[in-house]
Amino acid sequence: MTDARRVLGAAPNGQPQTGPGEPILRAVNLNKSYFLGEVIYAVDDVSLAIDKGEFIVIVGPSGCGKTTLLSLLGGLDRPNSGEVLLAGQRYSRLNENGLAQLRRNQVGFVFQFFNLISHLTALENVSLPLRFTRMSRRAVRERAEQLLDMVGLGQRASHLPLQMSGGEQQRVAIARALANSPAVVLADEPTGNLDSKTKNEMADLFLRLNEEFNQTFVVVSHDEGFARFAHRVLHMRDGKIDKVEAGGR
Amino acid sequence: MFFVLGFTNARRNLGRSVMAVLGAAVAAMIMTSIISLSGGYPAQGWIEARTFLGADILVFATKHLVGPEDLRPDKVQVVGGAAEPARWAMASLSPNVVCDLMTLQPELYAQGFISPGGAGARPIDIEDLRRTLSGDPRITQVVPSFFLPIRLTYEYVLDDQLYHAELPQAVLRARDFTVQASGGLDFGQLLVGDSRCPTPDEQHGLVGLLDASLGLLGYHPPNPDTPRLMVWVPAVSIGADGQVSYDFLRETAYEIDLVGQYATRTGAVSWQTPKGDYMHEDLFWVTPQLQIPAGAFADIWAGVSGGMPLDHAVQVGLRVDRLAYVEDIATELRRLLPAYSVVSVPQQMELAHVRGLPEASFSAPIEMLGGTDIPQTGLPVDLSRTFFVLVCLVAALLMATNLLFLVSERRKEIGILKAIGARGTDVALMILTEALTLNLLGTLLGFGLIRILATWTMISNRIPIAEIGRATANDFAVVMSAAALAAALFGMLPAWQMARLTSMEVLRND
Repeated sequence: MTDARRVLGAAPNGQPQTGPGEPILRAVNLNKSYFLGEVIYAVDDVSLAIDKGEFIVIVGPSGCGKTTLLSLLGGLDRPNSGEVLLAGQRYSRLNENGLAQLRRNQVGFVFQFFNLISHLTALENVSLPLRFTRMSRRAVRERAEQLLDMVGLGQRASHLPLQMSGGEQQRVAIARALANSPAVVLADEPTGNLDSKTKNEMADLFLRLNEEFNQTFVVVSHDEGFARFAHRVLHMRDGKIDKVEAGGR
Repeated sequence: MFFVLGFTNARRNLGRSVMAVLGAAVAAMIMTSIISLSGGYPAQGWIEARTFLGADILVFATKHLVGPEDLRPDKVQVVGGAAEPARWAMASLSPNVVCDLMTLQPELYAQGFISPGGAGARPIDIEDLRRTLSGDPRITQVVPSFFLPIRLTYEYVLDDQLYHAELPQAVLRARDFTVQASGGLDFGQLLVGDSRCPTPDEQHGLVGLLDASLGLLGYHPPNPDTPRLMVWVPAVSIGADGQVSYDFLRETAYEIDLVGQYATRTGAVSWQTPKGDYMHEDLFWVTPQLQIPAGAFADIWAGVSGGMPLDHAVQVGLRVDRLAYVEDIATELRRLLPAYSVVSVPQQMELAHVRGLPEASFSAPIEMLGGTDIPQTGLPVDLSRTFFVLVCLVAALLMATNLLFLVSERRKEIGILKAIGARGTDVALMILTEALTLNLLGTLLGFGLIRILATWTMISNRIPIAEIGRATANDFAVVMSAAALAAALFGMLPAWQMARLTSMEVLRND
């Protein structure tokens, strides 16, 4: 079922419809194409608006542009045209350092392959984003320990990624993503590399964080567990959002 | 924070860091070796200058790279064919070139390096040495040097007054004047003005040549009308311990006819006057020695030594086929003949060069010395700097390869860091920190290893500790600066590349 109030794909006037509150993240007519022998439209005129505290799940076949959209929303990549606004900041007006600062303070990333730094312990990995800030070492450590406790890994703080299971590594990645209390957490197939039991645990963790901390999530996933917890499920095909369904909540 | 991350990364990835450190160490070893052990001859060196060093045994090279001006057939025999003008070539000095093993390097003498002919010298049995060395094809010639410390007195006229002069520390040297240039250095061409060489008929005659540069020592030249010198030769004996001693209380006087003077050119100075005129002056060694025919020397030796045969020399030169063998042979001889001091001439010349020692020379207008054509064979061009630059480049490339390897290994990490908010400059700083840390650690290791060997060599050459310390400090500064510069320069490129990398480029590919 499409919720036209909240999502508008390729709106004729180019303006996205927003939710009842002021949206925390907006994308307006986003386009991203690559030339790989021929022009590939990875993201084709996508507009959307996400409210604070929303849990959005994006689904779609492989190569439909989900990850590209996520990277544009997170400021990891720049669109060919269109605009992204996060907490009122227009990405197009930020230079590379500005974008880096935005990612540092406003965006948390969770990747399919965890992307932890292998030679740093769990605690050091979680501390990384905090160490870009002016927080004292002690405060950084306390915050990182709290985050690890929150994801149930307080006892594994001194372990290296290779000494942990896939699920544990992903929890560390989630703790790292939450370190700077970001406006939005963008997760790209966060359970794609986990067994089914761990997938459910991970989905529960996301739900808990969303409910308890009103944390905004945009999750690219095929996992139905996530769709059950989502407020909205966006279906992508050929770079476009062609269907929006209400999630299980 | 990124400094800490760089250090942490280096520490945690110990295997990779060790490899990088070893790579840098190898580069530093190459650089340190070229500085410490292979200095080569200093530029503007000359054959005679080379042989003015003192020791019991001098080891020097026969073949050198010589310049176009030195390729005249009357000077050298070019190996493998006739000399071609205006080309550099490997040339071999004629064995007829006089080998003048003198003792007049005052600074080195003062430091105690040089003691040939002095009390306590241990004469070398020439035939025994020849037998010892006969199996080594690298040594082309054993050149004994015969000389005696003497007192020299003479008369000279100044303002119509007759004066007596005395050189208390002159040297009487045997010279084979029958050797004339036949592709080699002609001693006769060293002569000044109207001087003549003693003829072959005068092999046992008391005739001689005096160095023309006595004036530089503060002595007035001998009276040209009465060119006779009184030579006071001490009694010579060789003790049971094999050491030679000179007894100046039992002198024997010999009267020598001075048939001429000679001058040994070491180099030249050219300059332009304020008026734009080009001026030129030759430089000469100051050598207060009297050269007499070998036969006459043997007679005097027999007279002052109680009839001892002249089969021992207090100094011997060894001609070595190639410069590259000199250090090896000197080291072997030190082990083989521990009772004798063995000096590698290239190393001593380099040492003198490093110390900035002034040449024991003076300048004199050419017209005073009867012409400019004082033929001496130029020494090889100093290639040490060229090699140093080339080796530094190789070392720098080695470091660059290390850095590129280090950085390419860390692409993913850098992608992650950028995804969570690291700026390009932060990433570049981190890479440079790691690169500099590993390179400097490696350089320290490489320098240390090689320098220990070099120091051992220097100590065995009796170079003073203070001098070793100074040279080590200099070389350390050069090697570390070169390594830091190479690390910074070659680290900059990968650091810049990584700084420009976007997270998507890395994470998508991974």
